[in-house]
Amino acid sequence: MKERHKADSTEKLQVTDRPLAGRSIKMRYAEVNGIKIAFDIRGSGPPLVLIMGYRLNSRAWPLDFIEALAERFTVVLFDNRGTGLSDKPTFGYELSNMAKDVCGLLDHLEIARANVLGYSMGGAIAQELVCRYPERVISLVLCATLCGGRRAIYARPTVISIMHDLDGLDPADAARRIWTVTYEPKYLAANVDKVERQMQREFETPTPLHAADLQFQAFVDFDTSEALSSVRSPTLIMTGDGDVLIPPRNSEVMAELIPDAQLVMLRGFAHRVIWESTAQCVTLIGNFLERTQETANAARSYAG
Amino acid sequence: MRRAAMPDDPGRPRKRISRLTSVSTILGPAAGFMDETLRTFGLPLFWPYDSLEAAVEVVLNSSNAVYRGQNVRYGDGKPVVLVPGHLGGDVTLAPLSMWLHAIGYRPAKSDILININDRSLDKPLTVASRGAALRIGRKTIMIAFDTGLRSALRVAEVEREYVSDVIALGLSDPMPAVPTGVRLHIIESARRASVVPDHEVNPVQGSRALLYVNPAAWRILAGILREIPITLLDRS
Repeated sequence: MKERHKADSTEKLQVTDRPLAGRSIKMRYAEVNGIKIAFDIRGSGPPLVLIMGYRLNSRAWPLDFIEALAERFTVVLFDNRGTGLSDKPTFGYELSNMAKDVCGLLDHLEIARANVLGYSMGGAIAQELVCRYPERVISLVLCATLCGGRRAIYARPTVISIMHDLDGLDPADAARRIWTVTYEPKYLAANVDKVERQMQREFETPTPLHAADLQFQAFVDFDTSEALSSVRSPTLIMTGDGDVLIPPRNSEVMAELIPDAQLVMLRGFAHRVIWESTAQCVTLIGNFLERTQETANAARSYAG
Repeated sequence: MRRAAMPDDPGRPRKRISRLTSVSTILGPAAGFMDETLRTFGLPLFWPYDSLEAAVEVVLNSSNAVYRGQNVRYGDGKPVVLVPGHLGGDVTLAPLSMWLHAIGYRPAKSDILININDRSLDKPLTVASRGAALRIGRKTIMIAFDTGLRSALRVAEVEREYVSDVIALGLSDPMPAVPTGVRLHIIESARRASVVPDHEVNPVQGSRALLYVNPAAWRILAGILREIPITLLDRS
C-alpha cells in the first residue's frame, strides 16, 4: 500500500512558534475528534508517531532522542488531549478515545499507516490504537507500559501515592517528588542538572490538574489484556528492569500476550528509560523498525 | 413494606418515600435534640436490638471487597466535603474519607467535632466547600448524612459558585426543599420510610445508622460521584 503523507497542508494548519533549546519549533494544529490537537513533524522517512505518557506533553521527549529518530523517520510529535498546546476539555480522556485522537491526527496528516511508539500511558494508548485500528499500525513499540486488567502488576501504594498525592505542593516540588520513582537513583544523583533542565522544559506548558486526574483515571480503567492476542503488527516491548512505577513484569506479561513480540529488558534503568539511556533506545527502536520494514518489503516483493 | 431489590442490581427499581409528620412540630423546639435523636436512631426501646443488629452487619461486611477499593469505579479527583449526621463528626466519617481518597477523590475536612444542631454546621461547611473548590479549581460535591443534609442544602444554595451537587446518605426528616440549581442524589436504607417528595432514591440493604460504613452504599456513592461531570471554577 502506498503510504500517503502530507505534512505541510498549509490550508489546514496553523503555526505557532515556541522555543525549544534555543531553536524554534513550529507547533501546528489539527481539529481532531472534536478538539484541537497540537502536533509537530520532524525528519523524513517512514512515519513514526510518538505518544507521550501521563501528564507529559511532546516537549518532554529528550531532544537528542527526537533528533536521532528524525534522521531515519518522519517523526510525528503531538500533545495528548489535556496537555501542552492541545485542548484541555473536561471529558473524553478514556484511552480508547485518546487512541481515536491519534487516528484522527493520522487522517488529518493523510498518513494511512505509521509506526507507533508509546511511552508509559502513551503505550496504553498505542495498545488501544493497534487493537481498534490495526490497519493503521505498521509496527508497534511499547516502552515502560502495561496492559491493564487482572494481569497487570501495579506499583506499590507508596509509589502511587508519591505520583498522585501532590496537592499543596508547588509544581517544582511535585516534580522533584515524582523523580524519586521515575528516575533510577544513581542516574538521578549523577544528572540532577540535566533532570532539572528537563523539568523546566516540561513546565513551560503545565498540565492542568483536571486533565492529569482524568488521564490517571483513564489509565486505571484501561484494560487491553483480552485484546492483545489479536495484535498482528510486529511489536517491540522495552522496559528498564529498575522501573518501580510500572514494574517490568508487566512487559513480560505483554510479551506473552502479543504474538511474536520482542522483549528487551534494559538493565540498570528505571521508568524514564528513554531519558536515561537515549542512545541505546534509539538504536533498539531504529533497528527494530527498519528490520520490520525490510521484512515487510521482502514479503511484498516475494508475493509480487 | 415491600422488599427492595439488591443494591448491586443495576436494574434495581428506584424507590419513592412518602412524607411523615414531624415529631418536633408536636413536641415543640425545646425537644429538638431528642426529636432528632429519635428520628435518627429510633425509640430507645429498640436500641439494644439495633446495636446487636449493627454489630452483626459490621462483622458480615468486614471483609467486603469494596473496602479495599475493588469493584468500584476509580475517581477523577473531585473535591468532596463530608457532612456528618446527627451526633456524628469528622471522626465518624474518617473511614469513608480515607476510602474516597484511596479511590481517587479529594475529601476535605470540614472540622466538625460533633453535629448536635445542624444550624451550627453552616459556617464550617461554607469554609470547607469554598476552600476545597478554590484549592482544586473545581466545584465541590457535598456528601451529607441525615440531619447534615439540611445544612448541606443551605450551604449549596448560597455557595452555588463553589458547590455543584449534594449526595444524601440517609435523609433528614423532615426533608428540606431542594434549592433550584442544586443537584441532589439520594442513597437511603431500603427499610427506612422517610420524607422525599419528587426524588429518586437509591435504596441499599442494611441499617440506616450504619450507612456511613455500608459497602453497598459506598459502591453506589462511587458510581454517582463518577457520573457527576467535572465543573471547573470560573476564574475569569
